[in-house]
Amino acid sequence: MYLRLSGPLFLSLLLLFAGWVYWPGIQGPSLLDDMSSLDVLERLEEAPDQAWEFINGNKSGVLGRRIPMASFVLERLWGDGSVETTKRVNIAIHLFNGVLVYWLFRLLLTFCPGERDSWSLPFLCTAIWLLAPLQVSTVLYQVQRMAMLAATFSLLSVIAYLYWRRSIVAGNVRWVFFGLALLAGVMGLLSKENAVTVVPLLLITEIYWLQFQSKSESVGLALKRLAFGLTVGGGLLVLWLLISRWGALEQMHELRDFTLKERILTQLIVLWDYVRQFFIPDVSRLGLYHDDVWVPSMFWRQIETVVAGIAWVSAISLCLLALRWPVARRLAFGPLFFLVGHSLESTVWPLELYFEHRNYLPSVGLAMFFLSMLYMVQSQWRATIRPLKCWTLIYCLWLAMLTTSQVTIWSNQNLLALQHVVGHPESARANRDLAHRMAELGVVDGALDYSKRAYLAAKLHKAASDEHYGDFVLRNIALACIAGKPLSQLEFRDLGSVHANRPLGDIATMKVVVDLYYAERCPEFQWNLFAGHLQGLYLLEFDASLASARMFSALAALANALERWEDAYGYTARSLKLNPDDVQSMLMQLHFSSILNKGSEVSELKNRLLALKEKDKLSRSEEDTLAFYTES
Amino acid sequence: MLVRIPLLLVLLVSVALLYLPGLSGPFIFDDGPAITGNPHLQFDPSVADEWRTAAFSSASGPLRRPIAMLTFAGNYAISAGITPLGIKLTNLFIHLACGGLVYCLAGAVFGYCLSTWSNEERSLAALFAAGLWLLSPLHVSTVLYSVQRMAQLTTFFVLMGLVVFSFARSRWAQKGATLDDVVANLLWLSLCLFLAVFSKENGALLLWLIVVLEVTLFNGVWGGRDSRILRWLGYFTLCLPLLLFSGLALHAPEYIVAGYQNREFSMVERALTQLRVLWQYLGWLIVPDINAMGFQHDDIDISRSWFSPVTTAMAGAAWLGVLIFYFVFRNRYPLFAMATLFYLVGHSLESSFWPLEMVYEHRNYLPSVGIYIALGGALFLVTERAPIFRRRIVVGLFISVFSVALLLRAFVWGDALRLNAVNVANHPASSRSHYFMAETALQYYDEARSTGHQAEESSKAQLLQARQHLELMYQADPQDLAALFMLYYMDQNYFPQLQAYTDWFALLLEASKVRTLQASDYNSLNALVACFAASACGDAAKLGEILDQLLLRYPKSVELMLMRYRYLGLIETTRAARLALLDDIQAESPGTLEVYQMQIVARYEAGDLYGTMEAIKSLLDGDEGRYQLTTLKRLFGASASIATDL
Repeated sequence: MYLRLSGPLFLSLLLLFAGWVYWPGIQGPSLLDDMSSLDVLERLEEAPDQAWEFINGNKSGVLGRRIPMASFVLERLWGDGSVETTKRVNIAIHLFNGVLVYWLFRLLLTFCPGERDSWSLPFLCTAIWLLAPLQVSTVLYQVQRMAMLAATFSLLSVIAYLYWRRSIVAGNVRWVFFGLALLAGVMGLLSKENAVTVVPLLLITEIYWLQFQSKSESVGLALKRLAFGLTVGGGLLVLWLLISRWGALEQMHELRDFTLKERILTQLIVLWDYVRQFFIPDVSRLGLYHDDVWVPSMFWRQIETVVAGIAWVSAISLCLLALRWPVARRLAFGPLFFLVGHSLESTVWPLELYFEHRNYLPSVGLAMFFLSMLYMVQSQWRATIRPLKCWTLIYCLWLAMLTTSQVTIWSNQNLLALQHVVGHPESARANRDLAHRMAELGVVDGALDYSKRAYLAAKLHKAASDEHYGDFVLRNIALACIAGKPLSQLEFRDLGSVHANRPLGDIATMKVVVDLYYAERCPEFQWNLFAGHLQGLYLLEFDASLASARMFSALAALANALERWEDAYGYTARSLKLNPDDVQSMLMQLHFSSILNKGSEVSELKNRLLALKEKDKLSRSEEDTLAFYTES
Repeated sequence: MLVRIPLLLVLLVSVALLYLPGLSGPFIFDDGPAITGNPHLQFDPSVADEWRTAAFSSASGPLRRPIAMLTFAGNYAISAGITPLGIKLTNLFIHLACGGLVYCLAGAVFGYCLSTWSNEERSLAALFAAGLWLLSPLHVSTVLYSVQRMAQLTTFFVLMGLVVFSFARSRWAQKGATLDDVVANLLWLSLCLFLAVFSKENGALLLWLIVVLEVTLFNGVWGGRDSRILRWLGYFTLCLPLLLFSGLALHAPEYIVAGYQNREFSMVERALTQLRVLWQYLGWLIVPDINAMGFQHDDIDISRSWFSPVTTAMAGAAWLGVLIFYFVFRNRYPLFAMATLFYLVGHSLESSFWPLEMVYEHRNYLPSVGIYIALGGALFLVTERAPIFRRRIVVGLFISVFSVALLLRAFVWGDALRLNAVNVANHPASSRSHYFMAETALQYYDEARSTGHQAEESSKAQLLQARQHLELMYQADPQDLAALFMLYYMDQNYFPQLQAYTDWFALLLEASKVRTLQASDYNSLNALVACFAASACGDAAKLGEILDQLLLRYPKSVELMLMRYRYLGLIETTRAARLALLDDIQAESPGTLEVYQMQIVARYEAGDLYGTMEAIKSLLDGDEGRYQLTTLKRLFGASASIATDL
């Protein structure tokens, strides 16, 4: 009775405690990708009937991440739509994931021989995972709900699989659990694509933890053959794909300032850093911006890369060697879980180099390693387990203490911006963020100073994308506007003086400038002179190579705002030259052509758009916009 | 073995009752910076991180004593404020818990070295030893001195570690141990050590005290056999701290000596004086003369050499005799050996070479455990071997004397005026006792004045009494900055007609030219600056003369520079000059958080938001433990009140 009740009781207390630790974080700000992914939802209030479109409209991943988007949409429809509510929901999901981790750990232990005390070890290891400061940048970063929900469904999938396996061990096979495992896996994929790792996770769970336990020997043998067959087959397939698509992968990295080889070498070090930051966090470095991470270019030239590489090879070799002993297999399970969890985002794909939220699911493996260590101690040296549990509890409290400080920082926009620069003085993003904060506080000299630091930092580090000089000037224009002390013509005419063949690259900053105009935050700025300067840079000749299609669209939006219809028309024409089938650009051009009375072009655009409508290629809002022109 | 639990409970309840009259006592001395004046302890208990910053808000030791501070935070949360009663009651509970552990430790010690006794006899002896420790009147100044919870908690965890060790070691001595068992106990001990050290740094003594128990009681016996390796290992580890200290003294003496710059005695003088002080403590422990005890013992004669005073040499010789006796009879009298080493090792940090103040009674809280265990055991042995001394009478006599003395002392500690009056009566040569008496009398007068009763004779008497004690302080030491400042303050505000007789400010200025500044003098100087800031001490320009004098002699003192910074604010110097001074201080002492705080306020007041943000960034950067984080957050929450927040 005591054992049956104490687990849920202590887990509830742990959840309350973790919730209490995280609660001040709801006061924190929107960050980085929150804007691009969630700001569109602000339109939902005007058009709630388009909710389904918002759910399907996310472009972050190949599958659209519909489940988290649905949660954001529901939150807007039913809640107050505030950042606080979003963060509250994130905290609730984190706590729910804590329950899943506990559930998973308890289930895993039921497959171990002689397990009697089945709640305290899972409880302590769940506490480590739940209270680790590394999770703060996932839980309090709104858009990372995607990663959190992917983890939720991946964990549910593994749990359902374990129930299915338990039914096999009991000799009463329940296929419904297998079905649930598949369903949860699919839901995970619809949350974020990296939930695809649940397949290899299930395989290593079978091989390393369950070890093909079964009531019937033949079923056990079949499971063994299937698991090894799928693992080896899958491994060979991945290897073949890597070898055959290596060139394509290298090409994909051309969008970045680092090569594929540099990414892989960096990940060797970064993965160890994740491990360190999970177990022994250096909170001063924790945060959102790691674009100052050092990128090695040669394996043998830097001792850190060599050590990290050798350490990973040794760790993986040990995991393979562990296959020989049942106890060793269980010890190897956690580290393998961690590596498999990272196999998508921390390997060959041309993603950014370092993000803490990538550890949300893989870190369950690190906590699992702790679990298997404690389990081994409990089995072999029973007297030591009690003091070890006390020490683990103190360790959890230490982690919680670090997390509270991290949450305090994340609960205040100014503190967070300052702390990011303190922890990463050479991070371009951190400096940019602080520049923005300074501007919001009206400190124009500080804003421009940090903006310059950001520009120089971006040049210094490969992990940070090299910044166009023009973007730097454009950012200064925006910052000065935000601070209420706009730049003069003398100060902004520098834009285009460097890299005249591609003066601007960052669309986000241009959008901010357009928004500032619409919000009338900068009435003293010489908008028309500025627009004229841009016209001189982009429209003197019809050269579509001067910018990307999206940049031309952004420039058109600015010209539109300033009612410079000829300019807007010119920009959109270049955008359509680069991306002829882009519906948004066609609609914009339809608008500008109508104003400029370009009758034939108006008809041609209407026809093309109507044809697309008939093929059902237009969204609801695009159809509404088109209707405005066709009906009038 | 521990068969006397009901009697133990009776003892604990009795001790609690005897302490009751003292629970109404005031906050005193170091309670100010650590508790009542600690802004981090005025926190919002509903925010998790505020508990963290409260727990790490002590500046008393390098580890910040978070466990002790966390319990103070708990008191604040429960009582919705800091109240002496809540804190002293908690201290009393900790004292009782420590008493329980003394009983367990004594039981374990007697169980091993008095194995011929019956269980009941051993248990009674252990109970007696615990009773003596619990009832010792010397511990009143630990239990009822709020901030000494730090010493209490460290004692609690050290005792816990010693209990764990002694029970395990007794078992191992008889039956040996498995590796599993040894590792488990090492883990328990490391846990106790961790908790002890994070309550107060001298919890590290647990390691040395374990060795003391090993060499004096168990003496290398393992699994029923004598292990020479283990015995010599014990002696080696017993001497190891001494070797380490000698190494430190030889190779980096400045590490020890540097702290003596702010003391009126040298390292040698302190060590010599401690030879006498340790005997004095021992006397108070065994023969509780409450008239000699007191909160402050700054009236002690400092031993300037072996023969000045001559009792130094006598004390030294006596300690040498004790050590010789220990070496010769250590196997014959293991309890005596244990008590001697326990007492000396227990005092080794605070009563040896480190530049701390000379005498504090709370330093005996832990070391006295060995003495009382040995005393309890010895009295039971004597009464067993010489039946002429009836055990019940002897035990009753000790318990009665200790109880009466404890009750009287607790009663004295129950009221601020009573406490200070008794302290002054017991230590008429103690400047601090006079100071606290004057401060309390003045406080009572001010309270009477605020309620409109200042005309009453008793109130007037208290005002006169306050001044009289300050005069006595001044007579005892004409360069005492605290006395000079307070006399200047009193004559300015309460006795303006006396200003014509003595120019206290001129005397203060003279003293600042020659006096070697001690830690307490900085408090007086800070109070002087605050007095000018409150316009209670006259024209602020005068203050500059004193600070100039002091800065000539201590040009690198950050504290004095910060006082000068505040002074510049009083005389309305330009902001640029003040900010330049802050930059100088920062250059002189990079990483001083107080300087960053002042820079934030100064730059904010100057309307320099960029500078304010930069100063906040520097504070965040320098504050590695994030101890100021909640303050910073509050500051951003209400930026208009930056100055008041900091």
